[in-house]
Amino acid sequence: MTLTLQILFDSLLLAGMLAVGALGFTLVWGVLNVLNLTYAAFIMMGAYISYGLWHIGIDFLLTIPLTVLIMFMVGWAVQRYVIDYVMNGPHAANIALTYGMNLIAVGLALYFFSAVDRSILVPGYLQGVMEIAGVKLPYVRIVTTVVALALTAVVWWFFDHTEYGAAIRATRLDMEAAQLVGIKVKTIYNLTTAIAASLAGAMGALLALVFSASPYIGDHFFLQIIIVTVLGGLGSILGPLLGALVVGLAISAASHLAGATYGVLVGAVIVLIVLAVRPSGLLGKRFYEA
Amino acid sequence: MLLPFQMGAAVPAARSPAVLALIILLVVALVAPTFLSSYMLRFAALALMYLALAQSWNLIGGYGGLMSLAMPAFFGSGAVVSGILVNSGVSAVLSVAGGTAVALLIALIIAAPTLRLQGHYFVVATILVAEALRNGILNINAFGFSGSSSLNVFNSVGLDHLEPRAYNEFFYYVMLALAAVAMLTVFVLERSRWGYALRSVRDNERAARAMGISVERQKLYVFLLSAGMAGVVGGVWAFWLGIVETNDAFSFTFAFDVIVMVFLGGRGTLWGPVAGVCLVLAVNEWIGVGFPELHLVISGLLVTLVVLFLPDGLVGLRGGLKAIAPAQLMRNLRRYKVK
Repeated sequence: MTLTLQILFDSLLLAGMLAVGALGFTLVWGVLNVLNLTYAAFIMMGAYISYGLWHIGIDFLLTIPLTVLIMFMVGWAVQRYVIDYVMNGPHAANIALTYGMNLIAVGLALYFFSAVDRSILVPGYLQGVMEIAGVKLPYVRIVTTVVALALTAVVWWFFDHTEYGAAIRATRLDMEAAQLVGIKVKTIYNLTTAIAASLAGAMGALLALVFSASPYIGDHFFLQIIIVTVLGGLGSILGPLLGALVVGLAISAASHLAGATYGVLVGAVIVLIVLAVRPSGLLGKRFYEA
Repeated sequence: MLLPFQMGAAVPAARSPAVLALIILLVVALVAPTFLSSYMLRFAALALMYLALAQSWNLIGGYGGLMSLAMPAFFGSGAVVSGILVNSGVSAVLSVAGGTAVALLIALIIAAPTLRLQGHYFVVATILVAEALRNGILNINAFGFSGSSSLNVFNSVGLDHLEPRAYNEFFYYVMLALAAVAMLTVFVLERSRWGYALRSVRDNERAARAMGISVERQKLYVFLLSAGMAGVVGGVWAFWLGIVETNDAFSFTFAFDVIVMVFLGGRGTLWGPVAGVCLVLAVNEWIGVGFPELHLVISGLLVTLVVLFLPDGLVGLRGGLKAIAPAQLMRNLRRYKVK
């Protein structure tokens, strides 16, 4: 029973972070129809920015909104000055372009920071472990899960209760119709990538605390994000959440019961089955034919 | 039922410049080892291997229009299975054949569910297949084979009595044979009815279907062909290296390198991959020696710039110098820009 609870709580942590990351990725894929491989780089940048800010003395919890802000601008710039140029091209072009940018980012990180893992030390007020029913819950993990959920709630509020959110949803549903009602698609694209980048940055910041910042951290979690996104389905906010829960559970259970390498295998197999049976994902709606 | 290679005879091309170029290259390649230093020999053999892989991806990604990232699955299974077989006493040639057969089998199994996915879902599915296979093999611990430890095949291949130079020369010729077959396959495909059918599927599925072309069959055939070629190269690579390490065999590095090479050179063309392989390997050598820390950055920069400014790849330069005039480059940049 204790093992089950432990698995459950560990999976919640993983699910929380994956949900934040997947939310951003699902946005870009769903709205722009771009498989943005630079997302991994955004996560990595978020981790390093957060680490850097912490290093110069800013309290960790404060680095999160700052990272989000900085990554927002980075995402906007990347979309406006780079990705915009392949929007109307073949899919392969945007995949290749974002892959190239990812390489540049990882390469620069390797050059400036080297491959040494850099970890944010847990701040004093977050140290300690809570014990419920024999399950150890480090405060760190509780806080990070809460932060992840809070971010998701903010994003959900943004999409449901603001005009820009509605505009993004409209663009996702039908780009041409959105243009017809006067929505500036270019701005929407920039905004979407910016939001996605800030979510990636937030995930990176959390990762820097719970794990550590390294140039490869984005690539490492990127596969899991893809799994979560496909599982949850494009086109909804709840989708990535649900997907993250399922994947978090599967990976956590597999890791505890069989060993870490089985975790990703289980996740990948689950998604492949889902793709074969229901390509739009658990909660997704098919907005694009191709 | 007509198989693709029966569907049409290749247009007689005995006098075409492409044939002449191919023949000249082949002759040069055949005599090259006598002039090359040991280092350059290894480099050339590696280049030929990449050429074979690049053409195999060119088939599915360039002519087929399917951005498949499943190459690690086929390359890796070819390598691993060949390794297991040769260590169990099977002859080297049969082992590679066995490895290729397994790669083809895997391709057959995953073809049905993945090929009907559209757009990005297909790409993601291929990534997942490769990753799932890699993790699966890492976890295998049966029949004396442990996936997580490396497999030493050097002694079983039967070439351990050769001097290093002769050893590399042997594999140079094997890779040359593979590359030649790959080039020939693409050459024949370009000029055959099958090639036209494939390209029409790539360019407009609905129109192709309306013409009576079976879209599913075309995708399946090119998928299998590409997988088989990757499997063979994987098996030979494993023997050349002498050691099979699961993570290396299934790593995406090969796949991305190959895809970048094909993109840079020009997808869907015969000479594109040749140009791409030469350029990427040359750049790697140059920066690997001069600026090793910036390796990834420069590779990434190269890919980004080519996708933005030269979307058709290097073969687009065939138009002469005016193809890289700044005005033309800016036009290329704006070609796919969102309005």
